[in-house]
Amino acid sequence: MQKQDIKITTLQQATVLINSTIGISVLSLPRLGAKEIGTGTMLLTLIVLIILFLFVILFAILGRRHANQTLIEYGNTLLGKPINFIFGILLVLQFLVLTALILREFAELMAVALLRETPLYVIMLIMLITVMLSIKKEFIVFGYTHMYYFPYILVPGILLIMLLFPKIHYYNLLPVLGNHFSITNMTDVGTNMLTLPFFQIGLFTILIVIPRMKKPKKALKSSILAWVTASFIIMSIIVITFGYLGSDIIKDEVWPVLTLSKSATIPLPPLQRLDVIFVVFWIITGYTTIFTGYFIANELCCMLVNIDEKKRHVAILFVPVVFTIALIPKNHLILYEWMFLIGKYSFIFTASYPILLLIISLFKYGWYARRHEQ
Amino acid sequence: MFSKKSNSISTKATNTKLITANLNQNLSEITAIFKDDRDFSIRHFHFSGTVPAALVYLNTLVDQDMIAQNVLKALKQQQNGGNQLANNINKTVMEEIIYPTEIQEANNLTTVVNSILQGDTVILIAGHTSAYYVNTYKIPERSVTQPESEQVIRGPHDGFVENLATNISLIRYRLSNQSLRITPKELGKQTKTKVAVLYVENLVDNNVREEVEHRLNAITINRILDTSYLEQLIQDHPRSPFPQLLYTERPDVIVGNLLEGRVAIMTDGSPGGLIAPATITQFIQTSSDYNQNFMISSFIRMIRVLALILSLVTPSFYVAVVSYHPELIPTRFAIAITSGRTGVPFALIMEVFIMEIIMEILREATIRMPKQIGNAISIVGVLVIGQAAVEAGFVSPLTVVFVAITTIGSFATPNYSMGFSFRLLRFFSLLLTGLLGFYGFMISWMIIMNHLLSLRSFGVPYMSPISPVHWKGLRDSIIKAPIKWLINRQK
Repeated sequence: MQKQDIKITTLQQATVLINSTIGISVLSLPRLGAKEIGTGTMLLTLIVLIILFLFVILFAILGRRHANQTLIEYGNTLLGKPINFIFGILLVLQFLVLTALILREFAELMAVALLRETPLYVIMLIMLITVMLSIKKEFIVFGYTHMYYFPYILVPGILLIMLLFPKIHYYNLLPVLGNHFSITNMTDVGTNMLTLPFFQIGLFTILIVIPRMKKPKKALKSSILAWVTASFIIMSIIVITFGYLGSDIIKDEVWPVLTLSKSATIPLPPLQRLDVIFVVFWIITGYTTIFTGYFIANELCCMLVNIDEKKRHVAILFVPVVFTIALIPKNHLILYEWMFLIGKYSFIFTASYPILLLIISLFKYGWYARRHEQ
Repeated sequence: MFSKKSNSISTKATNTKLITANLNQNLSEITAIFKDDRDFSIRHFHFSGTVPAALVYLNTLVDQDMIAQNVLKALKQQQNGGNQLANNINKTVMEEIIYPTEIQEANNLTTVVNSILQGDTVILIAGHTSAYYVNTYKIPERSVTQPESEQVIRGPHDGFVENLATNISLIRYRLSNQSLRITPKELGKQTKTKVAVLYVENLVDNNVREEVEHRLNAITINRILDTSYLEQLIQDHPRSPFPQLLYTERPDVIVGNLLEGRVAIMTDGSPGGLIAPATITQFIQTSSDYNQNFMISSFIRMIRVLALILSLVTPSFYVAVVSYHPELIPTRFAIAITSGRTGVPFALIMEVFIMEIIMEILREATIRMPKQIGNAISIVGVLVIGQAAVEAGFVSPLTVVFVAITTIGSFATPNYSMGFSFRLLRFFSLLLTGLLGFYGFMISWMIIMNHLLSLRSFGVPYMSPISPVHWKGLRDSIIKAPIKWLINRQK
């Protein structure tokens, strides 16, 4: 019918990255290190974001080198079909599990913040159905969706930062290194943070989206910009949380940022409480991350088994899988244990696959190959 | 142009009968088709006073005065030339005798029958193997008035009528441009409705134009009684509640859109045209926006967006806050709400649902009633629902307020179908909110928005210029930039 090959713009790619990266895990991020290293968490988060930033650059370079092919296609040429197929299947499974974990985290949050008596599975099922319905025939709709929800995330995010920044107690922010600074603590907490599922989902969008871009050459620039923006928002939220609540309170909160957003007020009755705006914020951030994770799994699967792109809505098949996995953890404590554990292994995988591809690609087509030709 | 039949029909009949030299045989063939139809007339006369001939027409479709004065009288008059006349009958009839401007020749019965059905008068002459048909079509036609559904305060007050030719003249009048193309089509197997596709040649997006023609040509349906038939048949997503083509009854809107590179589709018998492609922002615009200061029209447009959103979210937001998250309401107000609800027998969601349904019933009742009774119904509605229901403790006053806001919001939308789709979807939103509170509210919002984001109208994203962002397009979307900035815009 009409031209279906409309490409994703640079701006849309950036919003995909930002939306997917700012997930609901940000809510619990300050707590992860508060107990062990206290205020040092802020510095650690910054380090983690910088490490991930390097990955962003590597991923973008890889994507740019093979802008005409999809991830699985160039994986096939670089690794050979059988090996790549195994990698692909594992990636699909990995993203399904990660999505399920985030979904569960989202449901736990909703159960605390909004629906105290609703069973978790209802919340999860509804969200899953919404996500499934969001996967449309055309890839570009993925870009449109993220572009559209970007203001929903940006505006409340900036609002939160602006309203609470003046309320920071600066003594809460010090010492920068934390009270119980030790390398072991730092690396332990650091790995936990680094391997959080939502970062991995955010990172992986780069590889999925670049082949569909109008100007893949700009992907590196836009990814960097997007990552800086996302990092800025995440860092600001964390600094404000520490500055406002202090590490002692954060330790005992499951979702410290949620508590924080409840204290944001503006002197304008009857809108004094801004909970509603932030609830919108958290639902949308949760949605975009889960959507992206699910979308990546679906997209990889479609590419692996050569399903026609217009039949993307086979996505429905993953619903029971994700739903069942999300039901397994008994409570949020176990959920976080799982997240750290699975996150670590999957991160090795998320990082190693593209880096492996990049290295092979450099050897095959890059300076190495060129030197040998001469 | 539009009184002429397209060739497709005559070629379709495979065993086309040719017109013979025998007048009576021709006539009996035609009579066999029309049988004893009441309005089927045959008028026998002698051409040039000597040759037997006949006029065939449907007397309900033609202008009888015109036939008498300009066709019959001229044909009966004695022609000079005698023998020469018989040889040159074709030239004489076509070029010398007949006064009406449109006359054509046919040599087979199918064309003849079709032209009779379209209000032409057919001239058959004995000994001659071709027939002539003259355009004598005339139907009662209402005068050009302001369309009731698209009234403006400032701006032209003419609207389309049912006659396609008149409508096209209204467009030509505003757009006397040699690049304006009006492609005729004939659709509907039984109705053979005349359809016109209009576009400005050097401005139109050719992909859209080709797609429009392609989809129109693919239509196989027996009847086209209104443009809405076409709308349903050619839209991209027939299972979506949202209108994907813009319907308008105003020539100035059509002309404005043609000049922005869009394609218009007009149907004979329908006082309105369709514009393709349509994006969501077009449905909140009216032609008078362009006739006013940019600040005023921007403000009005924002009000309309607000109204549209209110018509969708008000009842569900109310339910979400009051029954799920009362902590969001300031304490003093919360007490007022609770005291208003004392004695109401329903759960809030039921209460709102019932009120919304009653509101829809009222609306539907007033639409079809004659004006006098319609007024009575609105009085009943106001009294019963506004006051008595509250006093009886049936509903809380606040519910009435919010239901009223919803209804007014949906009426403030300039486009009826758009307003209606939002009214329909608010029940969906209400249902999810009733089940899941604010979470359900957001989920319903996201599902609706995601659906909108995936819609396309003839390949153009429906949510453009919002997402995908189109910076120049945003100047004339929810806001309207000063007209100077819009001048060089093509699409």
